[in-house]
This record gives sequence, C-alpha cells and structure tokens, in this order.
Amino acid sequence: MAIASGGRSGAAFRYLAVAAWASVAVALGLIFFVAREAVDAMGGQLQRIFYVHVPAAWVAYIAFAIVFIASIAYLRTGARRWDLLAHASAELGVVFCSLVLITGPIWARPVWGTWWQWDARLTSALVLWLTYVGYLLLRGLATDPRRVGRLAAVLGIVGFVDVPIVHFSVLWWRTLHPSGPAVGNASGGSTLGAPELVAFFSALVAFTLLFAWLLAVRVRLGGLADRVTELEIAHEMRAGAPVAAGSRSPRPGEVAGATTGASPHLAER
Amino acid sequence: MSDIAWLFVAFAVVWVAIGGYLLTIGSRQRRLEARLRDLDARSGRDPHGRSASP
Repeated sequence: MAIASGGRSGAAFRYLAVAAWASVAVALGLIFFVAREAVDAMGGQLQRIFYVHVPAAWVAYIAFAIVFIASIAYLRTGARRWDLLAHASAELGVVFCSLVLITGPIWARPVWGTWWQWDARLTSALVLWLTYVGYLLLRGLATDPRRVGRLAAVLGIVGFVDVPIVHFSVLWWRTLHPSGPAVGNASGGSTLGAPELVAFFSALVAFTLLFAWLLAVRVRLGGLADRVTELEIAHEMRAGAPVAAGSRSPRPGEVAGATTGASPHLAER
Repeated sequence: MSDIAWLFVAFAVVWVAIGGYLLTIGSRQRRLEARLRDLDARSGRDPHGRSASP
C-alpha cells in the first residue's frame, strides 16, 4: 500500500509495513491453528476474541501514553512536532480503544448474556474513549491551532489519568470483567498453555508493529498538511489578497487570520 | 448465533475498522498531495521546491 511512502524514510516505512502485516499474518495463524479452544467457562471458541481484544487495549494504552508524553513536551518546548505526534497518537488511540469497546461486548453478549454492564472496567474504558474523542473534537473544531494545541495538550495529560484506573479497575473494584491478566493467575502461574501464550504474545507484537507503522504514516500526513497550509499562506501573501476570516477552513498548524507572515506555529518545527 | 459466528463478527469488525482507517488516511493523503501539486504549480515551483524562474 502506497500510503505516505515517499521521501527519504520511504524504505523504512515499507520495511515497517511489511513487518507489521507479516506479524499480523503469523499471529492470525497462531490464534486459529495453534492456540487451543478454551474451556467453556471462558467462552470456548469465543475466548479467541481475547487475542485481539487485549492487544487492542495494550496499543490504546501505548497510544495514550505517547499523547501524555508528547503533550508535556509540547507544553515545555512549543515545538510543533510534539503537537503533531500527540494528535496522531490520540487518533490511533481512539481507533484501537473503539475496537476494545466493540470486541468486548461481542464476547460478552453470548457469554454474559448482555452486551454491556456498567461495571468499573467497562465504564472507565468508556470514559477513556469519550475523553479522547473529546480531544479529537476539540482539535477538529479549532480555529486557532496554537491555542487549541495547548488546550489539547492539557486534555491529553489529564485524560491519561484514566489509563491506570482502567487497568487496575478489576483489582480495585468488584467487576464482571475477567480479573487480572490472563497470562498469570493469583498464584503467579499462567492460566494459558504454551501454545496460547505464543499466540497471545505474537498478537501483542503484531498489534504493536501495526500501531508503530500507522503512527508513522499518520505523523507524516500531519506534516504534509502543515506544508500545504504553509504554501497556502505564502501563496495568498504573494497574491496580496488578505485571507478573509472564514474564507478558508483552518488547517492543522495554521494560525487563524494569519495574513502577515508565515505561521510562527509552523516555523517552530 | 453460534460461537463461530460471533468470533467471525469480532475479527471482521477489527480488520474492517483498521482497513477503513487506512483507506481514510490514504484518501486524506491523496487530497493533500493534489493540493500540494496545485500550489507548487501556481507558485512556479516543481514538487521538490526548486524555483522554475531563472
């Protein structure tokens, strides 16, 4: 797939893409042909949903951790690249968190007999998803990206507080959600056999590589959008036509109403 | 619905969602690249940023 594959780092993108999709293929093979069917109490065949549900949650945690770190870096330095990274990672975090919130109920419906329970794990995960959907809406509706970059960074930092709450909710409160990591039980041993552990960790690696590739692609897309905005502003200045407020939709990295110079926001990169 | 059907739905949702996201990114990239080519052409530069004027 020729997504954002040009430029000097094009080869690295392609290698990462090949590694990601190859590991996905290996993980799917292991999940369906190596991992054994779970006992009925865990849902039998349905337990295989766990091999995509947990890695998707893991990747969402990584994505929101990157938003947290990049947001702190952006507030400290004001460098646009951190803002781009935070935005890209938040978008991917929402995608993978959505997968968690969809695959969970698909498992729960036949096993629990209900799609949803307002228990601690499910509710805190929904709050996490809503927080970062709000983050993306805030950025999407912004007319002043410099100001919204700071506001979004604060939201990205505060929102991350929910990640440990989601993770430890099964230990802190009584929940219907299976408690603790499935790779270990209370006595420290694994509840999974060797084939299942191999399938599980291969799925974790596959989702992590897929996320890394998607993040690289998405960050490059943000850089491309900034370059377009820069050229649009330069073109309008050269043409001598002041940019009328509201005449052109603001784009990432653009300072609203900028008519007198290249965006300082972009110059910070 | 059988367990296998639920399993199929779950895996289908995951890969359709990831595929859909990739298509969205690809579409955004193509739109931006077209806009970039248009702006470069209007400012008399080639896509690599070199000025066409002597």
